[in-house]
Amino acid sequence: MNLNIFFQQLINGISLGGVYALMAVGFGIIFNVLKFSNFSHGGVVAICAYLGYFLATRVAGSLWITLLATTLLGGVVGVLVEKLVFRPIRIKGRPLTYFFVNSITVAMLVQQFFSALWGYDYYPYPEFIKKTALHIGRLVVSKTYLMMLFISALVLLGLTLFLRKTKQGIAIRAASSDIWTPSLMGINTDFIISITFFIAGVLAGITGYFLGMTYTVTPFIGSFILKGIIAAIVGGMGSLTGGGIAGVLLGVVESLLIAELGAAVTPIVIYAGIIILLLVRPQGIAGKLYTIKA
Amino acid sequence: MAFYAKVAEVTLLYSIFVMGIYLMTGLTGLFSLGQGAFISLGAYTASITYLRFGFPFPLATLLAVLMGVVGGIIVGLPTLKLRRDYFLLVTFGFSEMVRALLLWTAQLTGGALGVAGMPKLVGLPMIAVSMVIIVFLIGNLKGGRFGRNCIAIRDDELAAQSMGVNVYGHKMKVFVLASVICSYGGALYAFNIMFIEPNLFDWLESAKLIVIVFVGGLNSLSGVFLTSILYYTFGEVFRFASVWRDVILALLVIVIVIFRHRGLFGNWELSLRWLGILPSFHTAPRKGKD
Amino acid sequence: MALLEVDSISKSFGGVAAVKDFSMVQGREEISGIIGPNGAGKTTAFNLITGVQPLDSGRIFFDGTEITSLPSHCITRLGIARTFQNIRLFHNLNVLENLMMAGGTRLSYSTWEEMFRLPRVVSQEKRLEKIARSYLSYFHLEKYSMQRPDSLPYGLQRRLELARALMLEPSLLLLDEPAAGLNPREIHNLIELIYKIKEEKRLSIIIVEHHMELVMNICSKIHVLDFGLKIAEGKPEEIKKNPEVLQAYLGEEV
Repeated sequence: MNLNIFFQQLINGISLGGVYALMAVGFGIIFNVLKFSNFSHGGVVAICAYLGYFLATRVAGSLWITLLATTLLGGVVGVLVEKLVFRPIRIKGRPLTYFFVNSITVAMLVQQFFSALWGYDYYPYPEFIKKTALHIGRLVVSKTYLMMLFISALVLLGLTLFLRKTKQGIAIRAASSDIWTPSLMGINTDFIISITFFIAGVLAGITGYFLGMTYTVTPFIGSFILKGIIAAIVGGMGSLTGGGIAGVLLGVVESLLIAELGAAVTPIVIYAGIIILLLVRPQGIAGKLYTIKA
Repeated sequence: MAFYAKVAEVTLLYSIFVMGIYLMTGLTGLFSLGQGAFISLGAYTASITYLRFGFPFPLATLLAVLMGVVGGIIVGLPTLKLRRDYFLLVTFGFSEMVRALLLWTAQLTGGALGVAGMPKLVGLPMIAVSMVIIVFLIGNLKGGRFGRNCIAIRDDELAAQSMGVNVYGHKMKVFVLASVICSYGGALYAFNIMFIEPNLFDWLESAKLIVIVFVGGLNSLSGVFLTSILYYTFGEVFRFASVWRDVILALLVIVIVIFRHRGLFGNWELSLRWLGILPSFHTAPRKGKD
Repeated sequence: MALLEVDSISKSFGGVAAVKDFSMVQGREEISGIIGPNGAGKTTAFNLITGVQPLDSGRIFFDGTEITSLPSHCITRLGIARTFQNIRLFHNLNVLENLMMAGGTRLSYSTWEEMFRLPRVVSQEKRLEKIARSYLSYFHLEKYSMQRPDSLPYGLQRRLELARALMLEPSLLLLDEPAAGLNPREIHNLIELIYKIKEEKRLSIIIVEHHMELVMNICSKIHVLDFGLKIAEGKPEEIKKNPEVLQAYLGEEV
């Protein structure tokens, strides 16, 4: 691989990795607070990809307005999913497995619903940014990718500030140490969980929109959550920073591997790598190992 | 008539897969989104060794089963010691890996075009007999020490190990067994449907198998079996509506998990004791609050 | 020879010492207690002895064998059984099956035999069920045998957990706050029950407990922990008079 292609792929990888990072953080923040693997995040991403598509093609032509609207709607969808699907079993004190079953069912529901409704058709987003290429020296950089990278970084930065500086953010981080213990009954658990799902939904909104722009919208777009999940594992389940960094890394590694080995082998190498990583260092890059408490 | 035989074949084939999942997810509480991959592995191993290398069908099936063992060990070894989420997530990755592998090794596997040309060596009798044997074996396991340990691990791993159970070892056994059932079923599938391709059994298919187990009820082998039969028969008879079938299934699952979390059949077990030939799958009947 | 020898074991979580250089010797058919304020490391000590958590340092011997780095289920099979502070029964098994599950180590059939339910399996299962039922009646639980454990009142759940631990035929029994959540009458019954099983099953028992009356009544030796450190050891009368103990524990709570 020559240096040009290397840098090219590096930049593409970073911006794609930004989207993976958003997914890893969206997945991780719910794992942190409620301690279950939330596959419905992929479903919310898919819903947002469709929402973004319809907003962009039917309602408004502006990138920024539709992106913002999708993001906010994503937050609302996230909260709705929590209220309709998870809150009832949380109130009844069901074991965590039931949360997981419901989350995977939501993912299934979304995918099958869109398949049934619109079949396996492809829905391409409109081209918002006309002159898609930016020339830096001999490098050709897609403006869309740059925009995605910029926004992803901004959102993750904003989220970090929110979690560290605001009262609600600190409450979420406190809740992540153990929301199931009675000692936290004093704080408004319902409210904290709603905010968490809203944040995850917002992240899903941006992710869905970006994935829709990068690829096209199909019912299977929710399966991209796998990339976010891999990043979350590599980063260490429960470490948002780790997940974010691992997301970017994954994007870069993936892009470079695709350039070097081709798109067919890349997933095989990556998944095999994950299995080996878990053998050697199960706690991931930055995380702690989640074990069962005595 | 041929149509109904076809429906019965497909229904029973899928029910074989569901039984593997019942053992693993229903009894032991291990969630795998990779069982579809084991079905694929079994189907491909049997087909390719039969078509390309000319192995006889029984040997090809045996190799498919061995593939299930090897795959189960490779995936289980690093993940089953960790919290269950890791197992779940890695099996998800594994299923994608197998799919990518099948697409990549196109020279051997036909890639996206799939494999066709297997003769129809597996008919309804063979599927039905396999099904009965598998239900019998799992029923026996459920009624004895193996099943009690499974349920104990699902309820409370720490307490289970404090009762002298090698939790890691037991989970390995369960996972390999479930994978073998899936890969064996995959081999039957290949020689019944006569066409396979890499996308047939993706994570969604694995998720459906899990969900059927939850609808039937974790503690009810008979209930899960019935649910599976109903679901797949319905799906085959109303093929045109099969996508909406899954939408309805998904909605139903959410309602059941919320309002009737022990599944449609709760702790009920079909008892064959009145026939006087078969033991009941229960060690003892249960009652108590639900 | 002592049954259990704990030789200066330590464990810390994230830099905070939960148990530090803890040693104890437990004889056969002896009842001893570990007491101390909340967070003193009592349950951690149990977790270390039973192999639930790995040690940072130190060694543990049981019945002449070193069990320091053995996995938990092997330690159980050697003869150490325990109960839990927050009762951990298997709620998807009925009361009888909970006992049969714990009796699993008494079965010698293989998984292969079990798959086909060979005669050996059937006869061993029958024998096990009989043993489990005898334990149920020993603990006056026989009429609940078909119920889910979570449908039993709290006091009975504690008793069931005790019965389950005894199904393992241990020579050493670790009880983690057995009196928690019981009323005075039930505690009185518990004390009698512990005496009874100690005598009849020839058990050695270690009790972690908050409830002073219970500990002072039935333990021949008491170890006092405070912030992971053992600050005293001795007979109940000595412990009652020990100024350091009074300072750390009795002074603030009694």
